[in-house]
Amino acid sequence: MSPRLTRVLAGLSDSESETRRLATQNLPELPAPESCDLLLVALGDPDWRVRKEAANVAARIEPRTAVVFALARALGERDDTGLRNAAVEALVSIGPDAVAGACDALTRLDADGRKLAVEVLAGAPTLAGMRALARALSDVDSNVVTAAAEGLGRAHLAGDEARELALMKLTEVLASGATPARLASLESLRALGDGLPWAVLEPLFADAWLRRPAIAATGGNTTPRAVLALAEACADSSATNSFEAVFALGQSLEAGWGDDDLLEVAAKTLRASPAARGRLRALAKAGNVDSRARGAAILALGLIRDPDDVALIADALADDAVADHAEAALLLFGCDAVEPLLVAGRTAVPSLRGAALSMLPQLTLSPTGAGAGEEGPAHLAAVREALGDVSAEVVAPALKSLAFVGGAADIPAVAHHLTSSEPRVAGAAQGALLAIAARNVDAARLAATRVDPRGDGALAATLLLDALARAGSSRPEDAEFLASALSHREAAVRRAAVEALAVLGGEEAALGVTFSLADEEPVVANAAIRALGRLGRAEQLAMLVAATRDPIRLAPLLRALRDADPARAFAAARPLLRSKEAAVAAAAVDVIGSIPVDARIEALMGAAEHPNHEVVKLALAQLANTGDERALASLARAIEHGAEAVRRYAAELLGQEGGAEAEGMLRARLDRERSAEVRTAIMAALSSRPDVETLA
Amino acid sequence: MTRRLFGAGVGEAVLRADEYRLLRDLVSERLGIWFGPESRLSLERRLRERLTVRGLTSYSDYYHLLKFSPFAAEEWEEASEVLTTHETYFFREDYQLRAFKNELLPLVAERNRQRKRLHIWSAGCSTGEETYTIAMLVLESGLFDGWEVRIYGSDLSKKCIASARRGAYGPTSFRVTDEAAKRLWFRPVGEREGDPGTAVSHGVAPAVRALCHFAQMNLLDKERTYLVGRCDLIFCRNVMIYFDAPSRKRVIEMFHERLVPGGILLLGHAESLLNVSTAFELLHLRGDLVYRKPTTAGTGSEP
Repeated sequence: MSPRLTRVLAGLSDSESETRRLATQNLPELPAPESCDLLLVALGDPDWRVRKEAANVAARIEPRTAVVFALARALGERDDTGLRNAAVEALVSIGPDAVAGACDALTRLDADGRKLAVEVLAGAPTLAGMRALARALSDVDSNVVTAAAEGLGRAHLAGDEARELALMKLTEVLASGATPARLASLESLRALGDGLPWAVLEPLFADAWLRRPAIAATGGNTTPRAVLALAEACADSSATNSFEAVFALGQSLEAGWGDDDLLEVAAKTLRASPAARGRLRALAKAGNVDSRARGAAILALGLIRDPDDVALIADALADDAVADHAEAALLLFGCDAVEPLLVAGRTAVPSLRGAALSMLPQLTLSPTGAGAGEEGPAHLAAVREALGDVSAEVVAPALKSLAFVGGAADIPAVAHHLTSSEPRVAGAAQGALLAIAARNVDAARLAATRVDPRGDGALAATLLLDALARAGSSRPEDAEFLASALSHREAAVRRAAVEALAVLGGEEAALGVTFSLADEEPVVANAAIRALGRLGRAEQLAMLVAATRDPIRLAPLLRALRDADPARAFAAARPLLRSKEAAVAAAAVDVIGSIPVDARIEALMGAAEHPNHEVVKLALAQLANTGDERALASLARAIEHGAEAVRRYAAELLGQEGGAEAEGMLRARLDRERSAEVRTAIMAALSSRPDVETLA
Repeated sequence: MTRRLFGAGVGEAVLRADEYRLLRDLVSERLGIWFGPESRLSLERRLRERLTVRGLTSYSDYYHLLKFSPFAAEEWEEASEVLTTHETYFFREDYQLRAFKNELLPLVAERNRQRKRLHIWSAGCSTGEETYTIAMLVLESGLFDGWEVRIYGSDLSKKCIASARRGAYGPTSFRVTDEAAKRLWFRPVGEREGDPGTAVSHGVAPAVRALCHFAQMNLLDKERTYLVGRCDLIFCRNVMIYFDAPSRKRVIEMFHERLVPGGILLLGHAESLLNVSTAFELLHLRGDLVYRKPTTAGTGSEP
């Protein structure tokens, strides 16, 4: 007996559970068959921590087949519940390799053992396992049948064939099975992601047991009768059913957003039901921890359009999780929301006040708000007043609003905030000033006149000249002003001058900008690089790319060269993809990915083989962005990459790609993947839907 | 339906899907904080300010800055300020604090009666309210007079630590503090303009402050966390909910290493070690459930 085996044996026999737990961690290092035998000992330990540790290490013990069948036998240990449950956990952690053992157990164990085998098959989804679960729907034991129906809810992770089989079998059970199995089938059908037809769901609304899951399964259905039923169910006497109905209605409203007739079906029903409105208001309150239900309730309150609810909805604007719903709901009110929103905003905390202010321009400009001319001055006054607030959380949104609705009179007040010590306020002020000046060129010209380019008002004047240049209203003397502003003591002014000169164009501008490349402040030097790109100075930029030894400067230089001359940028960046310096290769990947030439696919595929994992991820991201079918080849290699981080990333991208080929790659890897985290990522990818933004 | 309420203003960058994934992974790797798909907008909003400050025009630029720039370390300091959540207040989750005072402190007082030493770590203390609350409860228990008592507070955010060291708090920090406790443990600071007699804020009493020591710390940075030494109790409440699974595991392993045998770990009410670690045993108290490092575990050496 080896010393190691002796130590582990002694550890597992110790009276202290902590010693046994620590000994369990060493099991994968033992030879077979002792490792497997002792695994079973640890799985049967009286202490849960030892059992859990044993389940964790099971996937690392070899030979796997022997381990799987030993664990499958343990499922039949009638008198040791702890061991049986731990064996289930161990088998699930082993994954697809455990399926054969579980299928075998399903044919020979007692009802309790078969139920555990079913749990294993559900936890490690494969086609063979799902077939076995489908057969288990005919088991003589009702618990096994119910567990099998639950397990089939994961069939989508085992491929289309498994999913189709599950849909067919579960629909049969739903029509004729016992109540627990019907319940499980309904939940599983919902999990499989195919909306059930309203004709199937409607009769279930009348069944006391099945009403709640039927309501849940109706969520997202945009059949008018289904939406009507959900709106009615919001007033259900059971709080649970009502909660479920609000959530489900929210899903249907989101799915049917923009279909005014459908929304009106819900609105009419909800307006007529004080009970439903009461429930919606309770769920829409800030204290509701379930943000999905809160968001749904807010949407529904938006449909009702009761001005009394505006404050309640506005409260949600400050919460990231439901802000989109609140915004959509308030837009339904249009200008009717303005006054209550202003009243609510006055006493609110800064973040909420800021959120309310940011909504005002949208409300008065929205289709329902259009024509509400009289609302304009009131909301504008509120936005202007907010500029004097002490909190950046109020001032920044007010400035952003003024960017849309501000006029010539606002130029001085907005300019005042350009030098705020709060970056978000200063940034918002810049955006607002540029936007207002573009709409009011005469006032902008006047405000920029007689300003000292090296004095205090230079930043505002520089931005105004930038806006005038963009509007095609520049004058010859503007270039002189901006050239002088390049020597201002403040970096913000120098940067703004560089950017304005890039808009102005011309040889003089290029000269000034070139000198700013030597500016000691990176924000100015980077602005100068970008400006050279916009000025089309390809020759100059190509020389800089070739000369620079600073990998961080290389990225903006390559991007600027791309703006000036994409073909030249491509030629300059391509050899850099092979650079051993990750920063250099990453900069090259970034630029090549954004140049729409056919050769970029091949170049990026090469970069996806880079020794640095982060460069590989960047290359994969760019390849996925191209939407080119050749990207799949790189993703296929990446899902087999040695680094977990790359495999996880590739799994996510394949999930976004969608399509049978990507799915096939994910499933094939899932069958072999031993890292629990990568497996989780693959399963999440298999459950996800393509992101339209990514594919576009 | 989905719109972007707090989305980009005029001329502001938008976080693309590929940029989101890269930044999400980078933030998770460095800070342990996980911004899932539902938090993409939040990540965009929080980092926007940093793009403005750095004069960058895209989130891709920001990613390159964080990943490859020589200024990355400096920028991570700033990024961690905007990416962390600082919401907290005194006497938060009182049921757990009651269990701490009535059940755990007597346990530790008994165990350490020879050494007369009590070290507690409030990991992720934000602006210090939790650390000071712990110190108040220790003093209130009266069990540790004449002992060496040290309460450590650490947070990722430098600004939070600076605020904790100042130890002066406004009304939102007192949302569940009763008047008696406020009178006992705090001193009014300043007077509101036009409202004589009303304090602008309340400062923590010197006796409480004397027990508390603060330091900026990334819980994933072993070198820094090692400096805390061995603790009898660690509070890490509502911190790990923001972490991804691997970071959670690393932090729990570190806590295990930093606790004395028999040391106690207190997590937030929604947090558990299920599927994170088997290294702790459950300790059932009358009013709470906490985790204990088994007494037979390896002790390692004192730093």
